[in-house]
Amino acid sequence: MRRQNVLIQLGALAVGAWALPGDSLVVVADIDSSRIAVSGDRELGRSFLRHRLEWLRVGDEGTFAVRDTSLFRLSGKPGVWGGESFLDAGWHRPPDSGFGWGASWKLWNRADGLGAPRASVAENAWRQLAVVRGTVGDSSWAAAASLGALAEQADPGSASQGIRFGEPVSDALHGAGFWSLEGSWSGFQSAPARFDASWSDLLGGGALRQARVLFDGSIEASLAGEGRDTARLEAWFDSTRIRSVHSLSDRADAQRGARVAWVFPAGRQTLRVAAGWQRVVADDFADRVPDLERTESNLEIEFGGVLPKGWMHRNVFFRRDEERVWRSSRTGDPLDDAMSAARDARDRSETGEFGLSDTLSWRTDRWGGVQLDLGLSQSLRSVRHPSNAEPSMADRPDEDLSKRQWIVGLRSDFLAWGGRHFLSWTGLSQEDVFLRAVRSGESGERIENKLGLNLSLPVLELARPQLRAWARELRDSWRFMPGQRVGLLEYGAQGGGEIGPADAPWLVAHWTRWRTRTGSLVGDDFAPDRIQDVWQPEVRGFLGWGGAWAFEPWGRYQIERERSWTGTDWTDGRYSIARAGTDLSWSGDRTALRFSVARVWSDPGVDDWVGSFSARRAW
Amino acid sequence: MNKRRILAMFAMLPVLGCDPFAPARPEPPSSTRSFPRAESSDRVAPLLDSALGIGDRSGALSLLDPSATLALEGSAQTNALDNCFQSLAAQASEANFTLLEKTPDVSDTSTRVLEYSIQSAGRPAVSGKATWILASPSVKNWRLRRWIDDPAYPSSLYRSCGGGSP
Repeated sequence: MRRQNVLIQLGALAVGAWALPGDSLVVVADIDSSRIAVSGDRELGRSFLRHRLEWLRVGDEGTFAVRDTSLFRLSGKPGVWGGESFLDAGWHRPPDSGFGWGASWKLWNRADGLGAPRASVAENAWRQLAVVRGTVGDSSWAAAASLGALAEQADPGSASQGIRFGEPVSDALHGAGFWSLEGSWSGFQSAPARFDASWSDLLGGGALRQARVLFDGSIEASLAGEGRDTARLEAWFDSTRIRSVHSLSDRADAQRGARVAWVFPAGRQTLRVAAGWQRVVADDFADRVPDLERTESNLEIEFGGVLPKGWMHRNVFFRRDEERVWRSSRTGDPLDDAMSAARDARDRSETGEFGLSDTLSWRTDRWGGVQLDLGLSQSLRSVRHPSNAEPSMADRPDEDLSKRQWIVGLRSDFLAWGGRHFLSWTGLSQEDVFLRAVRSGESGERIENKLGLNLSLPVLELARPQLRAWARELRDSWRFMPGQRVGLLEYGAQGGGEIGPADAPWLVAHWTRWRTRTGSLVGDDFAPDRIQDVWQPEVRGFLGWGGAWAFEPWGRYQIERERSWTGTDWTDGRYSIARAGTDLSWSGDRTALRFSVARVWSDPGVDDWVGSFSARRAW
Repeated sequence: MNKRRILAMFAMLPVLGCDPFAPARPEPPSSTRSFPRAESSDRVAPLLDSALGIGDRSGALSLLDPSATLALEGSAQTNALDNCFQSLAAQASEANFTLLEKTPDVSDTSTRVLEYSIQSAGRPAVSGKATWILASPSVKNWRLRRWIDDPAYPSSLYRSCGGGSP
């Protein structure tokens, strides 16, 4: 009976919290209290100002929430303002005797060029949507209907864009009616299933478009019976169409897909099989980017679990396939259109990738907790352009990328925390092959080895020094140029740590230095022609008093020195940036303030003052 | 056949030349032309400027990582960057990149914060502030892997490429 249900409800999907697809029309998401936050910062001649106001009122008459946000910047000389804001106000009343109501008002606004010397460059645009929504339903099904109005207007400036290139810039008031219908159903005790559907569109609208059709469903069942395993099937179709004066977009996006997963635990081992298919079509009627049609499928099989005597394993096989088809817009010019069509055909690509990843670990509680990790990962990614028999240098290349990566790592709970490897060796062997003659000369091979060390030993619970060191060597060679080989040698270390209690340290300091040499490999000799040397010390102190005030002086310095061989001579380059400042903060039960001021010294570059502030209050 | 024999057979496959992860054999090269490589991370912006300036689509695309993405800071939405660059590089554009901040290269990645403006003939200017994540897929060959636009700039590349829907 259970399996019959699975088959009958094949088109149904997602089991989760009870919600309708269009809830965001009237419900302001992620608000749990009322609060206001204002922040601003200034750096490199640009100032940013943000605000966020959230107001929530929950009562017998329903839930009323408002969120108002903005982000504006001031830049240039003389300063010009630009940015955007969004107001979302919604009220909804939960179903009472099966009926519920809601209403909302949303306002998007963007502006730029405000305060410019030439007032004609100033522009702004707004978009408003007001909706009334009614819901009906019980614990197993629900439906909703919405009616509303959408309006948009732009006040263009001399540099404003039309929605399409070459199209006149709109300054008219556009309006349209808005409607939507939604439905959700969930059921089956033994095989929980859910099906959502919604359809929204405009009534009239002229230059505006806003439509969405959504179907989404899922079902879960135990195929082996008695809950010994879990099978889940999901399928969806989501199509949106928008044409907006406010966002200067005119596009349609549609995606459909299905995903199936089966998890079967057997003793201390678990087998998971997952497969999916998705097709995405993106049409840009504004002709800013070519339309794209992407179809992808994937399969993943994972087998893992605990083995005797402290051993664990995990083996993953995956296969992914993707096809991309581009369609450039037609201009009406026969020659242009023929060239675009030919280029689109040449660009059509098929990508296939498959891989195998195996990890084996052994853990013991002896010696303070030690774990040995061994891992090997292999993959091959192939890109083909089957409609391009004669590729040119201007075309995307056919390519095979074969990778083998391995790791041998030792973890020690005593010597290094946080799951980091105390000692590790990672390696990469990679072949990147361009198949067609026009680019095959770039085919190459890379071999990389990296040794890592992490050490962190607490001292009397008051100091937590840390040391990280690494060394890396890398060799690149080219298949058809055996004499040309290049290499890289990098080594570095980071030392530092915290002093003070773990939850409120007094001082945090780090010092990092690394050196990278790149150059040619001649036989076994390495002839570096570029040497990069970087130092990065950093320190931050914490002083608090009264439990509310905190004073944090800090400093950060970075110097990068570089020597390059030009063929006849060595040249030296140097870049440094130093920052020093202080943060001052005050935290109360409901209010928090933070001020920061710093000085930046850049060489080359300009010195500057940097400042920021933020204030938050909740109620 | 016991498990050990099966495992031994699989282990022998690479030895016998049946490595399923090996790449296909390339054709012998017919061209010696290659695009200018960004030998250091600082060279990516000037080379991109140059490629856009002469409408060199292949040159511009060669500076992008094959999986390069275009994103808006604080948002999970991404576009394919090469899709966007196709239209920008289809004709000559005047590009200006002003470096605001950089982090040094380490482990083949590097970060740049810069202001940019790209003006193509007959098209509205694209301008904004972006964070670039640069990567080096081979030694002395830096490419742009991620372009993250600042949301405070309404004419940013992300929005101009159709990502501005509310």
